[in-house]
Amino acid sequence: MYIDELMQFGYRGIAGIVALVLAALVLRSSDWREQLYAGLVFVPFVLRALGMK
Amino acid sequence: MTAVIRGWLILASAVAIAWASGTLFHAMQEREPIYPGAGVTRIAALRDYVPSLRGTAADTPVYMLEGRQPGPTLLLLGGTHPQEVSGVLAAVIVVENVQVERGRLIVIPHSNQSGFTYTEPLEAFPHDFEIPGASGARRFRLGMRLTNPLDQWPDPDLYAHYPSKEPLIGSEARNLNRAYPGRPDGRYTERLAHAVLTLARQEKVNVVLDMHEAYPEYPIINMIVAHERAFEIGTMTAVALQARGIAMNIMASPKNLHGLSHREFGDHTQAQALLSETANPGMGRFRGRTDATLIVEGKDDNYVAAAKLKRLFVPFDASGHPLSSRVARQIATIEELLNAYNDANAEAGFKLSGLPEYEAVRTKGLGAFLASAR
Repeated sequence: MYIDELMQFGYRGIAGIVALVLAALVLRSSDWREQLYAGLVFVPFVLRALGMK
Repeated sequence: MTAVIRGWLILASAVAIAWASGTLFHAMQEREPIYPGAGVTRIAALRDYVPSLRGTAADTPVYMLEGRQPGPTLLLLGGTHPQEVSGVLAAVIVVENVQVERGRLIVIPHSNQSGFTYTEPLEAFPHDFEIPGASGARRFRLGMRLTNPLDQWPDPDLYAHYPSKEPLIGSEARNLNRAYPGRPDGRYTERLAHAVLTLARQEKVNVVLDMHEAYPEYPIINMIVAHERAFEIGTMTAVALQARGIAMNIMASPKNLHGLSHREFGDHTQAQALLSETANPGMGRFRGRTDATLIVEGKDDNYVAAAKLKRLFVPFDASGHPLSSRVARQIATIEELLNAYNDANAEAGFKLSGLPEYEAVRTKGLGAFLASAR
């Protein structure tokens, strides 16, 4: 396995963790602004986690 | 509304947006189908020549059209610059129609596959266009001139061509036609260039034709650019085309302009290297609305006005430069190049059938020479 593939998987893993944290924030926050902004930022991170660079 | 319900609604909306975006992204990665004709004897891939390309976007199909009798080999490159569509369509038509009796044709319709996976937002290009046919339309992707930055990033401030060290603007590091001869351990585009050049060496290619387009305000259009070893057959090709009423000129490959196919294939392989250019108004700075109609029909009022002001290097009237005419010009160039090679060489030359006639492509349209979508 090439080093760039390893880095890619690491990158996707970190993006997945961020997406999960953002999803948790959307569900657990009581402030609508926090929920909305976390929902918006969730989109690019979940795409990166799924390999859509 | 409680915070929990609101949260679920926002999250569901975000997932829906991500799904829609992801679907579009995936659609841009899909490779358009090519339906090989009876003349295709084998389909190889660039990874067969440079195994490290396996699994990368640089790996692209290589169509072999081998004659029963041995003879010379022509390497035909389309899609070096994916928005220069006449070269792509000409290569596809060769793969789907031609049968070789003597010699061999090697065709790469999507030379820089990565460039087909994106369009630059500020250029406002459509993602694809359709060619109507008798039994339905064929859809083709429209790409960009450079490698997708997702496959090669970041651009250097200054791109130093290998091995000449000639300096170019940084984004040209993603230009396949500035990357030859390439190197096996270089950037993505250099590795791709190295693979195409390796193919030419291993297959002992005799002639290379790299098919391009340029905008009508660019001086090098309706032109064949030839390496000095290919200048004789290039000139014979241009003369033969002009005798048929097809305006095509000849230009010598500059010796100090490195990285281009006509220069580096000629310097680094045994092949005689040439490049052809047709005029595409869909690429120009004067163009108006940029949509699939402009790509296919090649009509633009701005260019008609520019021609009246003598700002262009080709005639341009209301009939424009349709894609069918541009592809016909590329195919006629292939035909006359093969004739010129045969005339210039004493040994048995190319012999093939099924290459569409210039006038037939212009009048019947491209759909008549493309296989039905399956």
